Amino acid sequence: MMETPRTTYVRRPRSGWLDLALDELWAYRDLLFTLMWRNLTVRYKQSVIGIAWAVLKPVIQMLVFSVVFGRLANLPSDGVPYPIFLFAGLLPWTYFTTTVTSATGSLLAGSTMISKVYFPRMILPFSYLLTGLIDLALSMAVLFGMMVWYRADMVFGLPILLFPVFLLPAIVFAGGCGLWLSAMAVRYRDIHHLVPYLLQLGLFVTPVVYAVTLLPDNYQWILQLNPMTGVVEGFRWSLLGKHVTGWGWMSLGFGIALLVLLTGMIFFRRVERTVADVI
Amino acid sequence: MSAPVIEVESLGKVFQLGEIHREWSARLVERLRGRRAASAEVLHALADINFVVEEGEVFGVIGPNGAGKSTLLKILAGITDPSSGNAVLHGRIGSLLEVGTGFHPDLTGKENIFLNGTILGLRRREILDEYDRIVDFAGLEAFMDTPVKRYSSGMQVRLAFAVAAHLRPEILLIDEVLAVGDMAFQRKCLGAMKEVAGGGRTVLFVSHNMAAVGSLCHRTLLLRQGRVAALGPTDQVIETYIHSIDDPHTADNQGFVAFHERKPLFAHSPLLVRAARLVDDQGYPVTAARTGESLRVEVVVEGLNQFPSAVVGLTVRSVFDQKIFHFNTAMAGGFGSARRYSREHVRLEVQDLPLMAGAYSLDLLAFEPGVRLIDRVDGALSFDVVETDLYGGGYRGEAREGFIAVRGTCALWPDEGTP
Repeated sequence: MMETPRTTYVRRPRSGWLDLALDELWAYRDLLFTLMWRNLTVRYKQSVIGIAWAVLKPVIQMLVFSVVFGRLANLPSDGVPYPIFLFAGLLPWTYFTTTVTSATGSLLAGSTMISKVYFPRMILPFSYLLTGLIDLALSMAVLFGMMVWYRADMVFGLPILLFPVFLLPAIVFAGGCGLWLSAMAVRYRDIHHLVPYLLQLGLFVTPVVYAVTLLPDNYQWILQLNPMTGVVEGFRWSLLGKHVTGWGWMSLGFGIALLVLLTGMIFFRRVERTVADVI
Repeated sequence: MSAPVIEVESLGKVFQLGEIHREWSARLVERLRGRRAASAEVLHALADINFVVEEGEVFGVIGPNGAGKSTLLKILAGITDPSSGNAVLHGRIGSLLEVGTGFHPDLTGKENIFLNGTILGLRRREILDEYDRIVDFAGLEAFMDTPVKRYSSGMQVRLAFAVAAHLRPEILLIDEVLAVGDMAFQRKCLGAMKEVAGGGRTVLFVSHNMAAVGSLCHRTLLLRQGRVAALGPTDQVIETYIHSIDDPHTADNQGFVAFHERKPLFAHSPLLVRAARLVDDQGYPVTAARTGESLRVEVVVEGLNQFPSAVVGLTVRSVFDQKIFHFNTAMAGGFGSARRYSREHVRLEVQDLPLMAGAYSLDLLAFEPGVRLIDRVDGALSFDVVETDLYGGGYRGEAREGFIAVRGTCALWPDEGTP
């Protein structure tokens, strides 16, 4: 066996704001993937159709929303067939909501691990960011199928390669929200009651079931500051070729997502110091 | 060769008592008023701890419940931060604070090996390299594709220890894991721990099992009320521990553990048994007894004089809660026509204590034989039995081999053609 240089660990009262311990996070990357795998397998063990639920849920939601918002309420979809317009927005939105919900509960769900073993606690909420990506990838297959079905000529333009770029702010924003909420949920269990309502409200301030053009031109920026607006619009632009305006405001929205992640990491690190005593 | 591997310097840990939720609103008010309100009640779980562990040493940590043993281990493992002082550890740390941490009941044995291993800080590749040896050590080849929820608790422990034993840590922190699992496996675990220590690595071992600490540890630290009560060669420290007063939260300075703040057994039953303690032959309080010597329990009862035929008894239980033996005042001949008092001390002395070294507890009870149970305190006292040279030949018996210490003879003669 090779002699490796000794690592030295110092345990002392911590202070300071900007010690994010990213190197440690990197050292534990295998745990991140193992937990992602655990989240996924545990969710579908002893279920008959298993992972198919990941696809079925957004599809059913799409069908219901298409009837309610597309047919009955007749919401605008900027010239794109409503079901596909909706689905392209619903997928990143579902990714965001499921990830934030499960990340919020991640510290409490892992409380036995936290009180018995040391590992960077950020791994717990972050593992759900990856689990959500697997679900999203499966539903994307359905979306591509729909694209072929609706307008074959539109598929496989160059911008299609860019849709992962728009996934990035969704991951960043969901990660930031997950860190803030999971850290707060350790002390204040109220968060668990609050989060579903906040996410429900979020659906109204994100152009998922309607188009941004529903609002007068001079008010659209309010919507575009919401990082998820940029994500949803980016998806539609890259996948459906929809004309999109307001990139400036949406970039600012992505900046907000990054800010939420950074402050979330700082806040989480502070809570992490005593989490094992409190949980 | 021997260099300090763990250096602990004036380490302390403070816990805030009381409601946590109060904190933020209270703090806000304090800040608005520009001063700190009367500081909340705090508990010093650890205060001013200093010690150094050398490379290759097996270091024991003992002490009564609530003495801060687990807190110390959690700080060393990095699970929680100290409030003051510092600890420096040189080398890769493996901690085994509770076996099976992170096991998920729905995942298979194989999946859990990877989960458990990565939580403890291993890379997947390293686990893959060790996988066969882990499965082999646990002896569970046939169950690797079975969900862990279908495992017996013994099987879960075996799997968990197998993972930890193959971490190849330079410092191994262990908390009370040997209390579970069967004999053969416990031997295997002890062997693995000795091997870790033998390879120039260091073990810090927290336990209630005096026999295990005595046979494994070179030096031992005795914690009491969060402070270092003794530190030195294991035999001496165990000796100090036996003559120390039990749990500070329930025992007063005479060693009495009080029971008056409990719920009555039945709706209106009197709380006859008020307090109890263990004493030595001089009447001084102790927390342990010795195999083959006397176990003396002093019970304070109140109002027993109203039940002239009442009997006071004790039932000793193992760590697995099995009843081992019962002894009472009627067996000892009773008190005859002795004068009774409204509040009196009853002493029960069990002679030639037939218990192997280990941790035990006892229930106290008062009853009228064949009529009714008057009062009972389950788990009234916890105590250790410490090994003695019962057999004169230096053989050291432990409760792991069986609870009862028996004596006997053996003989030997040549075989003369047994069919």
